[in-house]
Amino acid sequence: MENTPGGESLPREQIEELLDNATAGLKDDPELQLDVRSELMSHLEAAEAELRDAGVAEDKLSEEALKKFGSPVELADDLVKANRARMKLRALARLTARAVMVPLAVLTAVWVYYNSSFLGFEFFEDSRGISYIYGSDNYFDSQLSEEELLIMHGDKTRKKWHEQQRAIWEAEPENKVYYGNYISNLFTSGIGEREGLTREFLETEYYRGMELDPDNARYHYLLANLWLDEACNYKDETDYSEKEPQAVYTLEILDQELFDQAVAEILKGIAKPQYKNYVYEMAKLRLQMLPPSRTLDELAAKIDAMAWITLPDLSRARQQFNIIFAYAKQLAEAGRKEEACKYLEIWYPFATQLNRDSFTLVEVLVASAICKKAEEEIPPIYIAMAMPERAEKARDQAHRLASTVTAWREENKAVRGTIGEYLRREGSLLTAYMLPAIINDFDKEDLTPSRELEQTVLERTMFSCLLALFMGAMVASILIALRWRFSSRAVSPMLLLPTPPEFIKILGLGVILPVAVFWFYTRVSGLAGREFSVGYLGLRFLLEMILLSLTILCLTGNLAASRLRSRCRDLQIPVPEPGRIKQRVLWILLGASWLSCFFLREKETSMQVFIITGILLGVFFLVFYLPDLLLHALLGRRVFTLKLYSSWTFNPILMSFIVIIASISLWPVVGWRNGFRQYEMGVYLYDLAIVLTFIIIMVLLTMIITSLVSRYLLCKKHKQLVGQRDYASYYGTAARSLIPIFAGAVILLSLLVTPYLRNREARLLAQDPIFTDIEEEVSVSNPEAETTRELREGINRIAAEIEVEKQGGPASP
Amino acid sequence: MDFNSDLTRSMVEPIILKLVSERPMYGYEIIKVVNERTNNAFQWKEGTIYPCLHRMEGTKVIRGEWRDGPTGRQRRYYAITRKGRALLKDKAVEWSAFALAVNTLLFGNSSATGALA
Repeated sequence: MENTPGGESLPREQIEELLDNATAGLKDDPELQLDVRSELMSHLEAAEAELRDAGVAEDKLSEEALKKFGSPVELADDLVKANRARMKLRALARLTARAVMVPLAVLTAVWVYYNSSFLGFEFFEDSRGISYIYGSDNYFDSQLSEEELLIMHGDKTRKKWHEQQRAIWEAEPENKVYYGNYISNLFTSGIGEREGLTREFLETEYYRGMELDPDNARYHYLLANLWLDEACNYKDETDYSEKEPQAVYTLEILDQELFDQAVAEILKGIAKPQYKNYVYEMAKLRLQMLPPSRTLDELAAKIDAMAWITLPDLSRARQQFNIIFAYAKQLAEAGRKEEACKYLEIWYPFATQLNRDSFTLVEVLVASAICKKAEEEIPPIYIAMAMPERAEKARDQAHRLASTVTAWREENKAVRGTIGEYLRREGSLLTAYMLPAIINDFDKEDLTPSRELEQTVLERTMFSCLLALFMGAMVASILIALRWRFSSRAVSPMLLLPTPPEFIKILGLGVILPVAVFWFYTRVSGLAGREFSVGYLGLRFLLEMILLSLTILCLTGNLAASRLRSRCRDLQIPVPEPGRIKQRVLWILLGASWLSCFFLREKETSMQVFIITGILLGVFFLVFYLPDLLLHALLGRRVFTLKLYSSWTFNPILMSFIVIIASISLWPVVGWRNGFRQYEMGVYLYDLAIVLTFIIIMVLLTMIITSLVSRYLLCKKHKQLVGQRDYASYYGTAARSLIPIFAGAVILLSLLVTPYLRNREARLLAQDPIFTDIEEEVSVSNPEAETTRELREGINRIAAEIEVEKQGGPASP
Repeated sequence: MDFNSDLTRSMVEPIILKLVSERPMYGYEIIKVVNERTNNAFQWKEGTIYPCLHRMEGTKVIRGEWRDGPTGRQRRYYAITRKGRALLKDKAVEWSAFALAVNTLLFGNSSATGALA
């Protein structure tokens, strides 16, 4: 109280005693006690001043003033009675702040972070983004029953993948789909997977398939393929680097008897009514067990599951028909025309069988490729056998069957070169990654939901980071408050709670207003560049989110600090002058950064601005602002004055020191992170997100710690420039009182922003015409499903026409 | 003249309400104004006003706020609230009726001043 004007003439001990006695009953509420004490002190000073004006002698002033004031003992009783209800209420408020708000803030932040989308981090890892989503097929496991888990993964207690899949069939031995799935998984490559898969074992499995599913050609083809592997040696020596490669191959038959058996199996296969690999049925069964996607992560997990569907029959089918063509050619050259003709006709039923069962684009393309190969290779063999009519007929049939895909490819050629770039700019990462090979015509409006979906996911991720920032601020405040809790140099930190209107004002102006302005800016103003993809203008979006986070944190912190400063003054706690220059620099930097964002529409400029602003803001925050604040709070003094700044802060040696130490500290982290990238663990994406988060935290901590240490050393060296006043009580109290305000901000953001963003994400997901829930289509995207369906049906239609012609019907136009 | 303490205690609240309804005042100022306007008829022990002010603040009839005083020193100013104004109105009516009743009983008419004269 030594800085109170007019208090010098009152005997200090007497006054202190009176005030102590009068407020003794309020000690359970230190803030109220200080408040009342200050009020009584101001009364005594006013009384003394008036007595002095009335001509009372200086030595009588205190005596007279105290006499008029009355008995402190009676006053103490009355004050306790008068404030009892208020003290109870205030104690309850403090208890709520400590025992409810802070734990609730921690819980909500953990909940938000647990539910946050790590895809948001992924966007900035690589513009292809989604390409790194691997192995998240267990994403939904917690939502599945035991039976569903068995169908989803098989029996995971078994060692080998195909054995795990076999368990699904074993649970229902009559199920053709499960058996087909097991057979597909026999071809999985992996350590030890191929062990024990002997010819005898595989023959047994294929024969069982024929028995279980007698109308299916698949097991005959697989058996034939197994035997062909041993019976012959086929080498494709075509030079595919040439513009128009000429087919060059050799076929050496090692075991004629086995070879003939294999060919006989192929003939049995083409006589069957259908070919089915059951991949579609199994995928549909699995996807139907999964809940509808409400987040992009869930959709990505499903796309991932789809992307991992294996189609092992395809490469085998192509190889099989290469061998058959080569063998027919050999027979023709040997003059065995009848046998050659028989094998030259196999391609047609097989290609049409394969096309009918296809549900992915690649299957249709393989079926068409077989037709294309037949068109090129069969006619010359017939001509060599002097059978030009047959040559013409085969060429015509093969050409017509392949024409659907050929026409589609031609149609796509015009846009293929530019569509990828366009989608990367104005589509979404998902569309840019998934569609360029498929899409030939699309409505521009169709790209909007998917693009906005990714922007929303980015916002959700960044809001999680903002919550983490607030949590970090809370932890720092707790540590600073604890620092002064047991210190003899300061009054134990008090918890100064704002009144409800003050609380509403701080959170309203600090949190709700910036969020509302940001919402208007991004959703309504048309200035936010949201017509561009996250992959294209992502750095601008990231910068804006960082600026929003800093704006909210600084605004909330400054409003709260301003209120606490004023309150501490009321309570006669010495308060340091605010660092006005630093505050101004902060707001100018933030304002300039916001302005620089507004009109950025180019990826390169966006990157340059991001780097420049990042360096400016990063250096200011991490080297000046935050270390200063922490150092002041931890030492309880004004450490850096303007004089010290001007003499030392911009010293290039100090700056170089900070940068060098920070770089050296980061080196091993970056190295470790690069090593991590090459090591693909099961849930790669989450690991990556954790590593990225870790790196960001390390960068921040390194810069802060380096700055803190260097400044502390500087401060010790220039003691004469360090502030002498002790502000420990203020820093301790301010730190403690900021905790519930930060907690309130966390709760408000968690309850206000996160549900909005999650709902928006779900709504955009439902609106998206490109990636609607794939459980209905069993396809990665709707355009792919549509293209596959059109091509498949086109080929089927032509095959039907050919069938009619074969039976003597009308010729096709 | 010394008044009976029971009599004055019951009137402290309406008096404070009346004064802070004119303009926000701090504790010492309230006492000073009371003394001035009553020609020092009320000899309040200065400290005793604070429990009363705090009680009234607790019941939300007045609102306290720290502000810079005329000498630059911070003072806790009290201002009347809407609830306080309503209470003041009630108290004024009550006192008026009470004074009239007492005067009538003691002096046989409603004019205390006339009787005393």
